[in-house]
Amino acid sequence: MTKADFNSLLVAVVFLIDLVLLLGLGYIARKLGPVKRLTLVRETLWDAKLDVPLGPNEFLGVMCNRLLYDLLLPTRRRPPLKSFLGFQVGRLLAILYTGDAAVVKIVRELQFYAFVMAILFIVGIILRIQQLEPFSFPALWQDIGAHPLHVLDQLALAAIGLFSFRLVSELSRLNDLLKT
Amino acid sequence: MGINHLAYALLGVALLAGLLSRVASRNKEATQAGPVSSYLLAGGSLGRVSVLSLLMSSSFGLNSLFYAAWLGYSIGIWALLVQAAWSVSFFLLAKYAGRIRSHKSMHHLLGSDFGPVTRVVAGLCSLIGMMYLIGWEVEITRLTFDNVLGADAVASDNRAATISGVIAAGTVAACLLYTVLGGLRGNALADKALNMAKLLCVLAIIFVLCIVANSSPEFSLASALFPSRNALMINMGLFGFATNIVFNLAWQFVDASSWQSIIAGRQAQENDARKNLIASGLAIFVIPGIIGTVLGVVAHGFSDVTGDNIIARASLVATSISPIMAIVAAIMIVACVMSLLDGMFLACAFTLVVDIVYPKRSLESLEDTPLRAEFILVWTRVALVAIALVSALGVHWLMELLQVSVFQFVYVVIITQLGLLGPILIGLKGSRVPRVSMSIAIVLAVTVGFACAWQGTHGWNPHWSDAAGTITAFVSVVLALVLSRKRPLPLPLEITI
Repeated sequence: MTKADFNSLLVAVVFLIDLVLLLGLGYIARKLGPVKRLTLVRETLWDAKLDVPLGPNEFLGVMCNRLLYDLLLPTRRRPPLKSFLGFQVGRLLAILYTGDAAVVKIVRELQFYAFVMAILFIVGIILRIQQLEPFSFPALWQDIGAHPLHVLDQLALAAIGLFSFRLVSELSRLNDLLKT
Repeated sequence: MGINHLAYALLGVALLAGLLSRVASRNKEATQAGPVSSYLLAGGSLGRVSVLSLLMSSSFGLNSLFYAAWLGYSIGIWALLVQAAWSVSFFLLAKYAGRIRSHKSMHHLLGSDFGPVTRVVAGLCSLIGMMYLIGWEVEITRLTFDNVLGADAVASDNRAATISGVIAAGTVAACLLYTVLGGLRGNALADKALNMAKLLCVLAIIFVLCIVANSSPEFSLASALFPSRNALMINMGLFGFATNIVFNLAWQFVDASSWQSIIAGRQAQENDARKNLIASGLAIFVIPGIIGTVLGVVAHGFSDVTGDNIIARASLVATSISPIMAIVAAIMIVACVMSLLDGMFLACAFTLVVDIVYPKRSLESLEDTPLRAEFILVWTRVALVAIALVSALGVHWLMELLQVSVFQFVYVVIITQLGLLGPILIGLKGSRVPRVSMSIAIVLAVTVGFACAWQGTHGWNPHWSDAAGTITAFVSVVLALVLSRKRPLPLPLEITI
């Protein structure tokens, strides 16, 4: 594999990842560790009907005992809750609701970066084709490999940087919220 | 006009649409509704301007501008009668706005009156029809780019053909990307900007063409506005006029995209949906009805105009007067294509999810957990990509196979949807009940329509293809009447002591 082939392959893989993120980031985000925990806890609390008027300062552990936690929840549902038994219910619910809204917001923001990347890639390819005489797909592949960073590609790269930075920072923020 | 103009117009329009989609998705109502209902129906909370904008964008695509301009060029001011029929169809539909708003989709109305099989068959017909329309619009886009770039002295014919194909594909991809991003609420906001951009660009082009026409000694406004009887008969004829009127009056009843926009409208007051439709009918008569007709009339000011190059010729003539018009024309073409396709993509997704894959479930029940909702949304988006690919490539392949031109193919495009006309009219009236499944009426009407189109394109008389849509609509209505009977009056209540 020549260097040009390698570069083109890299660009193609990045473009493919970008498309996957654009189409499925909402689903992927729900599968990521902190978000998954958040969602599981929310669903579990919903199932256990813990929103009874016992007061927001109650600890989840106390509340679970009162509600016969062991009897109400099937075994597979217990592990997500266990790590939060020391939380006050009010705090936990606040985390869950703000956390879920944060997930929706961050997914929409990151999808916009993915969109910008994809548009820049597409227009970049049209501009490259304009300069190819005669046009053929192998020639386009070679051209991308030889000059992988045209102006629009650099902008797309900047969008990738911003994308990665925002993703990591938001995930770590969610993780901090859920730290016991 | 060069490739650069088209590429940068594409970049600018797509980024604007994407940015507005992103802004729309931050709306409070958008974040509160479930992901799927927010994506496909904007949570049913769109305001009047948004609904109007969505309805206008589906009536102001590149093919509609072609149609309006060509009618204006061919029959002058009489084109306004045909355009008025298009607007009248909105007013006719407005009569049933309450009934439309009470259903989940156009096919849901058929399902509730005529059974689940009719709903799924109608859903498939609409899906196929909309896919035809998407592919047809892409072909028209490719043809327009080809005409624009082929006229460039630098570009050879083959090269122009290749590049026009690539730019058309890029336009579809860009449109798909922002549709994937923002859903119906995003499209509604993006379409407001795109409609405004199209309007300004068309007005600028008309202004420049007026200057050209004014300086042309052969141009006569009177003869362009009022063509002779002979010219009317040659360009359209009574038969063509009648088929155009029937098509225009019927289309809004069978267009799932229009129904989706109406259902997505906010229902703060009882007659909001009705008012939305009336306002849309009036606005659409002006844009593109009158504007497109004027564009066609001033096209008499320059030569070599034909049915398949009128927009490209208008763009090139305007560009020859002022270089800045190249970017104006490029924005107009790209915005026209995108604003039509985005609505079609979402209408396909809506029909697929609500009427074909999950006909027995409500959107709310599909969103019982966030993970499930996101999963459905991912597959909806993947299906959209597949629909775009199959539509664009499939129609191109089909046209080559059938050896028909893009303007002959219009008769194929409308058949599957016009086949639904009879059952929909009966469903909206609500005064008849079916004797047998209405899916029979739909299938037979579509079969007759395709047979007419085939006879017209490959048989001895081309008028059969001109009439294919009208015959389909007629057969559908007659069969729907024959296969149904008057709804029995409710039995009087016997009061017994």
